[in-house]
Amino acid sequence: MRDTRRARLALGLLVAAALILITVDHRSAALPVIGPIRSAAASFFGKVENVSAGITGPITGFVGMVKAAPGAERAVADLRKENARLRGELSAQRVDQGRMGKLDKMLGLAGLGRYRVVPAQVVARRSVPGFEDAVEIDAGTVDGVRQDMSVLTGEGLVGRVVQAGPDTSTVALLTDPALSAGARLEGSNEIGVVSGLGEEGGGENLVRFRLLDSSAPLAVGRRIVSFGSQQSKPYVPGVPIGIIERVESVPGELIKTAYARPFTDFSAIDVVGVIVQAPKRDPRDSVLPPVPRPAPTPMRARGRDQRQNEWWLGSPRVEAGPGDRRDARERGDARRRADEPRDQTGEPATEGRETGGEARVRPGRAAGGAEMPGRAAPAARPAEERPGRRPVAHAAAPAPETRGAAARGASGRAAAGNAATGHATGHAAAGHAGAGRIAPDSRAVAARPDAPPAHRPRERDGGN
Amino acid sequence: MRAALLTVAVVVLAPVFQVMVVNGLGLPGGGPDVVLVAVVALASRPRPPVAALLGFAAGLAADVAPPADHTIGRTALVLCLAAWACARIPARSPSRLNGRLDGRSPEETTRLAAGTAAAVAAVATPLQAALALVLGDASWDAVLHRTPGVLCWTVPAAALVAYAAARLPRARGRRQGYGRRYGRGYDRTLRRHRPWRYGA
Repeated sequence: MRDTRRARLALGLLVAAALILITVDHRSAALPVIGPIRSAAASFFGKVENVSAGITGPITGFVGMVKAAPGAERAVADLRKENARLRGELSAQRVDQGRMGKLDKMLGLAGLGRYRVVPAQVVARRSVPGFEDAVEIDAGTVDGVRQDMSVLTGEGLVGRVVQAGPDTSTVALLTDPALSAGARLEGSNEIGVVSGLGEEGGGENLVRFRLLDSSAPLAVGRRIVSFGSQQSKPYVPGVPIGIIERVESVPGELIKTAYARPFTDFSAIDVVGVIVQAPKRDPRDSVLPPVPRPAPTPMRARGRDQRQNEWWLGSPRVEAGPGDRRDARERGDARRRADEPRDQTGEPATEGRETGGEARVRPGRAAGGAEMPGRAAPAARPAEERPGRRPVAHAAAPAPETRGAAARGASGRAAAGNAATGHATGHAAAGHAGAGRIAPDSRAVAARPDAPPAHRPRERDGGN
Repeated sequence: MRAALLTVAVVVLAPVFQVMVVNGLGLPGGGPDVVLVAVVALASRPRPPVAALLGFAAGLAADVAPPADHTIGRTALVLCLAAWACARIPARSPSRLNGRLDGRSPEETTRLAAGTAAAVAAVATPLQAALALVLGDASWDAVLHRTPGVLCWTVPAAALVAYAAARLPRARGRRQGYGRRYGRGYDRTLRRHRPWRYGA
């Protein structure tokens, strides 16, 4: 027990030191003794803590993760649910966007021909192979749809209204074998009859085109538009129908038969337009999509002169006015057209529309004027909304010299749901697609400064 | 020497461990008082004055280690007393077998160390809380709310850690005997009669 005294003394000293520290710190916080001690200790321990944070951080993080695991599971389940919901919304939006594009295109086409259309959506389809091919659309007499009105999509003619109910109407498709429509060869006055093939089409949705004049040239790749009925019932003139894919010539037969592939994809009709009012003037071929350019590879093989000919003939073929077309046919233009690669015809057909469409799409979305015949069935809508619920795309007839531009302007306005204003947008949109595509032939020449001036007369002479 | 280095490391790192790991885990009840546990586990080996110094140093470190804003010296006082008690009680308590000091088997030694550590921790935690209350560092509410939880964590932790520390093999210098504490003659006698205390 020798050490006990010294041990007690040491303990007493330490306790006294602790008490002094407590007293000093407690009584006089302002004393300049504790401050430096604290700050020195803080800097030292701060450094140690900084260093050890790298080690302890993951530990505490892991423990926190383990502790939060049950909640995290719930959170994951919630997020999954939300994700599924958002996915559904996104796909619905995508569908809506596709429909909007189709509606835009259809309104653009209607604007080109200055048809007054009522947009509608296909709600049901009835197809008895070989007998009938019809769809039900969600627009009826309330919307101004009557029997024997033409129905079109953004690509071309669909059929006609065979029965109009108050809210819905039945549309017989072009592919219906019982349906016949007058048609005209593009760029000529040769007329014929288009009728559906039904079962005979072999599921390809081809239509039969019978040219009344068997002596008239009929080549693969030529396009046909609707001829128009009396008082535009049931068919309005000028709506694109299809492109001739196969010509059947039986020697000695009075009527030439060809098979045409319709512009409209009949297996996927969604947004259609019912033409409630025909244009005052026959739009002739102006509604047809622009002619595809010939492929560059064969051009290189040919001579420069010939290439120019191709260029010259290729584009203004559609632009040519009514008076010019007979000449073109007579000089054997059809043979030239038949040379053109056929696979090119489908693809660029959309080009002109799309460029015009760029200008259209935005206002259409922003204004929201063109109401999408969307998810809600019309029957579900309140009755008092009906009269004004469908925007009628109407293009006021402008002065003849601005026809080409104004036609696009009209389409732009139709999409924007604003028929009264917007001439300027039409001009802007028309910029590329060629000032002359729909213009009269004389203006077409003027609009092509790069073309040799002597070219066209020479062609005409040669043809004659 | 190694023991001294270990002690310094523990004294420095215990407060850091307390604020960075234990307080960061968010344990229910607040978690153990790591500095107290370390001190009571380490204090059973050195002589009481050294243990008291150890406790004082560890307490002072805990007092100044940021983030701490309580009165400096509070933990130092409590830990100084706790460490002294931890060093003194085993040295003073006679063996149950024969009533003699140092007549204890290793099992008894470790159990005694663990029991002492638990008892000291059980006393030191409320003492610290009372001191904080007296000095105005904490309110009644906080003390009543926190102390039971800390006590529940600290006492078992102190017992476990002290038991484990007492089971560790003794440093060579200490294993040679009790000569420094009780004289060389006694050490020689002890070596003859209680060879297990010397690792034999």
